[in-house]
Amino acid sequence: MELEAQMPINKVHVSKRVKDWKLRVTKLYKEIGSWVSDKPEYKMSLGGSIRMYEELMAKYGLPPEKVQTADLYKGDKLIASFKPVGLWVIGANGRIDMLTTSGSYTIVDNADQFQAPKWHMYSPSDHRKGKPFSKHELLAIV
Amino acid sequence: MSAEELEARSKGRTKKEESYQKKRAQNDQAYFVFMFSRLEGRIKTGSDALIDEQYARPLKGAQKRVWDILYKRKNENPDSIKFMDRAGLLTPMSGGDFALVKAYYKERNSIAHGGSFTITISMPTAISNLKHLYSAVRH
Repeated sequence: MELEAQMPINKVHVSKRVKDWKLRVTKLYKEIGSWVSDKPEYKMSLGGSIRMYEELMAKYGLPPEKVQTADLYKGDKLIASFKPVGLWVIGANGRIDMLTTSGSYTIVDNADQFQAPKWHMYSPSDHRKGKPFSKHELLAIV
Repeated sequence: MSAEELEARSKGRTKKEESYQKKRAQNDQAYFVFMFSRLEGRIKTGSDALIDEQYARPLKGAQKRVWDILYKRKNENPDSIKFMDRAGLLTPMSGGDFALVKAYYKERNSIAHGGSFTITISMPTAISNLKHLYSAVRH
């Protein structure tokens, strides 16, 4: 469960969380890039940005933000796309969807806010058992 | 649908990609409402049973009057007992489970009134939470 209730929520706090989210997302993309860096057929590249304007941002008068998406190619073929869905998630600290030809995987950060991320991945066929999102898991899918 | 969305993205067909994305979100909403309806049923049934049980107990004074009122309302106009009050009969209102029911109920209401999620829902997390709540609100 998110710890929002334990910390004072104000504009500064919400703004910090948005910045932290954008940073965690870009760090994850870099990490994924490093996972495939030894495989020349794979290429990770940043895609377009998507709009982020969540309930707490509106409530505290923050402007909409843009969050980067990313794409993973194998040769010329797009094999996975990463789309940040939102930061404020009940029970998690952000969600990114990973679209693949075999379905949409949900990647959530199970860490507490402002802590090192703990990315977990849930497959489209099994929403119950998440696995830590790792190089091994990614390459098993793509 | 994921494959189609990916294909639209690879071809730069933004509108089509957005349309598939929207459909994915709608699927999540439909599944969430279905899952929540099971919890909703559990809370209604459980709170009804609790009221019946307490009404039948040999209580006295104010304690008896409270359950007499709830028993009457339950039988004459069940909807007059608000859903979150029913949840409060089954789990402490100051506890985390109650807060979780409240948070998901808000999302359910938003969708039921033609809107969408007011915050992001991770379906694996929501399913796990709703299953936990289903057990936790047992009468």
